[in-house]
Amino acid sequence: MIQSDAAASRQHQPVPVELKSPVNHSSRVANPLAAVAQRAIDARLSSGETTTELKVRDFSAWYGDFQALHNLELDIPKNRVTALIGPSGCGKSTFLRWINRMNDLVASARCSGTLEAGGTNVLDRALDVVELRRRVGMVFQKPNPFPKSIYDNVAFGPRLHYRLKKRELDALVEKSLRDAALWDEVKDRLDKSALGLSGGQQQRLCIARTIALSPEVLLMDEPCSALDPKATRRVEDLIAELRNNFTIIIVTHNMQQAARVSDVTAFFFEGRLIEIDETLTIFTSPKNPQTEEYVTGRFG
Amino acid sequence: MTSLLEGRQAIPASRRNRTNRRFLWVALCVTSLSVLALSVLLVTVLFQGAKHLFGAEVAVVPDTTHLVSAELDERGQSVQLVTREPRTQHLELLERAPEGATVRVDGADVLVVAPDGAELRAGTRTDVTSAALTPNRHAVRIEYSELVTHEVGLPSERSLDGASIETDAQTGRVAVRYTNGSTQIVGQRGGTLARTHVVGSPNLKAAKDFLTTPPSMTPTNAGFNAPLLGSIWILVVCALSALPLGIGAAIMLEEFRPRRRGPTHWVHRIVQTNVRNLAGVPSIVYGLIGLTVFCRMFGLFGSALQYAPYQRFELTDGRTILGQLVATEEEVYHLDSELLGHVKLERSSLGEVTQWPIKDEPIECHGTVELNDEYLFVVRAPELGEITIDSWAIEHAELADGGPFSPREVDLTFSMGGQGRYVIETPDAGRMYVARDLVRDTVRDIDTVPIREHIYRMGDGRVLRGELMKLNDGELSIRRAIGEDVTTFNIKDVALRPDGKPDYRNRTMLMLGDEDSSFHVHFPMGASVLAGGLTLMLVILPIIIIATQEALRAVPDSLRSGALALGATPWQMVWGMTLPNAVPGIMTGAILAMSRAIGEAAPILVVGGTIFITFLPDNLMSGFAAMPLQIYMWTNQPDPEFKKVAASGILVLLTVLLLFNASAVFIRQKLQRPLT
Ligand SMILES: Nc1ncnc2c1ncn2[C@@H]1O[C@H](COP(=O)(O)OP(=O)(O)O)[C@@H](O)[C@H]1O
Ligand SMILES: [Mg+2]
Repeated sequence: MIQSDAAASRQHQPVPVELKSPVNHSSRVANPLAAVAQRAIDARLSSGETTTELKVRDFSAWYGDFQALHNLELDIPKNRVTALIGPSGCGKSTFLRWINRMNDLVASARCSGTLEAGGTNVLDRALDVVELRRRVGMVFQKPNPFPKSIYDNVAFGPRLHYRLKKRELDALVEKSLRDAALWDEVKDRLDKSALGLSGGQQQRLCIARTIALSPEVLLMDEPCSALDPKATRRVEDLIAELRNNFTIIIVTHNMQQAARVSDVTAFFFEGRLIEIDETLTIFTSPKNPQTEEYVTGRFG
Repeated sequence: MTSLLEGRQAIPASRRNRTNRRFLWVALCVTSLSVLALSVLLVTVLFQGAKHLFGAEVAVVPDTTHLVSAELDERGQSVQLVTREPRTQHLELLERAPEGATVRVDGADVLVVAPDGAELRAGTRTDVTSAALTPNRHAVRIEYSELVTHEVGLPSERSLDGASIETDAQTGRVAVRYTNGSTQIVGQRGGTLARTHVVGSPNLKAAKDFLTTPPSMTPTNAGFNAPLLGSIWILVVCALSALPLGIGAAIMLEEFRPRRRGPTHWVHRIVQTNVRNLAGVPSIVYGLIGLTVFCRMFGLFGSALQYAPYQRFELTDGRTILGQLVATEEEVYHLDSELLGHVKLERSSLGEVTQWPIKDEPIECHGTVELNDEYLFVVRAPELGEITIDSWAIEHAELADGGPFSPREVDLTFSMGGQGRYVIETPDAGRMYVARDLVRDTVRDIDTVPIREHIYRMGDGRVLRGELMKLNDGELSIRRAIGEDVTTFNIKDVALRPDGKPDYRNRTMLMLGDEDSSFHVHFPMGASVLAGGLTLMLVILPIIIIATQEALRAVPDSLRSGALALGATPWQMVWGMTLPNAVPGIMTGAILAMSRAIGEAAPILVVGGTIFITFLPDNLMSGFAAMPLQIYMWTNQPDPEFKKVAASGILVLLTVLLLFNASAVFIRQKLQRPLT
């Protein structure tokens, strides 16, 4: 449904996302794309019991006078992968950057409404963003490894927040790299510059760097758009492995990717949330015709 | 669709190419011209400087005005110069010669011939050129010549095989030309102080001497140690203050810029704009700022010693004392007197105090000025005694006739100039400024009887120079320098009784640390190393800030976001990410700024860098010399020999500069790495 005006949207209740257990829908699926999604969901959905990680109520955001987001209302489930899709400029990144308050750095950015992560109000002026960002990690579109050694890249975050012994740090670096499925590739060159890695490895390193802090939420803004298909595949596999431990919110322009990796998909259009539902539903039987047009590629 | 350009004539490609080529030609011409000029300059400096730096051997060479012959001796260790020196002699006659008598020289005999033909032998002498009776006819005055042999030693390590002797008729210069083309001067007309250049083989000892001896008024003795070390001191102070301050300012401006509009935003913009403008401000302006802020400190702490005026204190009993007021207590004034050292003065005894104008109360006297065998200027006058001045102590000398200094008898005035100098003026020999400290020491503790020469101004107006012998029960014995006579005075006859060590407790100046300790600091700073270094800091601060800002800006924002997204505080981001990656750029900028600082003369001059200083700085409050100042002074000296000394100085300065730049390049190469 399209929120035609602000008044209407304020009354709008969040779409309850009810995650079904991985029953076999394949018989009902005519769309090959949906088949892909189905396989993804079958493979990855664990037990259906979910809790809400992120609660968004009546959330609007502005850049100066320009309103980038209009009265968002949604819940993002814990330990699931939520994909944000929508045409360029519809405000996906803006939303993501408000969740860990990276938009504080933009002078003209401001917002209103409620944004709660794990029970804490993210938008609280008094909130320590340093602590928030440890709990809500972010991976950027373009891999941005630090010009340091691979080891120092992963150790950078922990060193900011904790005083660790060398041994503890070594173990943490190894575990993070293993979790990011990068350990085997880099274990012999930990002291080499991270800039020598390939693009895909760099992006996985950035993920390793982020999960080294054991965040609760992992924000990914088009993490694969700068990568080749093979590297993309590996990052997607990694996301699939991480979803049990982290709440992942991923922005993507790639429908297949959204279908492959996510449990829940939210469709944004012109700063409004059009529809949020189980990924399978969005790709097979969206309630909103606009969503259908978008996911089938007839639009945008 | 028809083209809009149809039917249009294109500009011929040849024409456009011609313009292109013309520009390249002009660029080529300009470039080659500047390269040419630069190489000529460099070669000149190198050639001149290397001569002084590496080739100079100082020696006294004989006068060749009456040269007869010059040859190498058989052993090849020396050159024998034979001169025929004119001499005069009076042969006393036993009795007065009769009227009309003449003189005749017969072989070796000098005969007086009476009008009646009688001959009387006055004496014997060979090589007589003229002989005549003196007007009173009591003696015969003969002029004759005498052969004198001078032996000039040659460096033994040199091969004399094939060496030849060259004589220049015009200058009277006699030189040995070695087979390798180098020459050594062994004789010169006038003879006094010639330098012997041994070009061709570097003489490292000469270079070492140049770097380890103080500047001097005689080019042969001129060294560079005080300016070199002075420059190093102020550069260290400058670097230690400018780097943290500049980098910190740049971080503040660049990484902590206010995001939202408001007063801080405006302050940021004003500061940012002004930092850029300040980089273009002439350095002399910084000199003036440094003078006000550091040397004088707005007069907040009273005047620094250097700036306390010399004053004439007229006492109620009619006596006069000259000096600086250094401290005041309730009823007592402390003066640093020129003549008496530190004196305490009862306020009630103080009459009128007037400014001591430069060169007031000169002591006029008649005496001699000469350059003795040890190259010391000796000024002798009854009123002054004998003042021996190391030639390197002379700050400035204008000699009326230039040329080698010959002893002369002169009328001279001896007075006290400002800025710690004596001025000795002689009408025909010119004017000399002498650093006061080098002529005598301040009386530090008169009761311990320093064995040094001082000038004592007596109550009756006489001025005596001599050595203080003893002081007991009001009796003061001064041994006069000339004639060794000991004069004893009653202490009351001396203008005022010197009284112990200076008491600094009540100085208006703020003193930290003992005056002799290396931690000694006083405010205001006066013309000190600290003030000089801080002034240079002002000069290069904008450059460092701008360079650091550029370097910080070159660090991609993605790294900042990466660090912030991991929960870094802005400071952690700067310290752990931005700054390390900006270090190569910062270092390059900083080192280039330092090379600017090393060449600055104007601000140093303004804050009181000294010229012809002969002591090395030993703490932050020491006075200092600096390389560019010294070079400038040398180039202004009338003696052409100083041009070479200046060139040597330039070589040293250039070397230091190149070292700085080389390290900048090295650091850039070593540390710079890709950031993404
Ligand atoms: N820093 C900014 N200042 C002003 N407008 C911005 C800024 N960032 C994004 N916008 C605007 O906000 C809207 C949403 O942008 P964004 O969230 O980046 O879209 P998406 O990530 O969905 O492509 C766009 O119209 C964009 O022009
Ligand atoms: Mg985006």
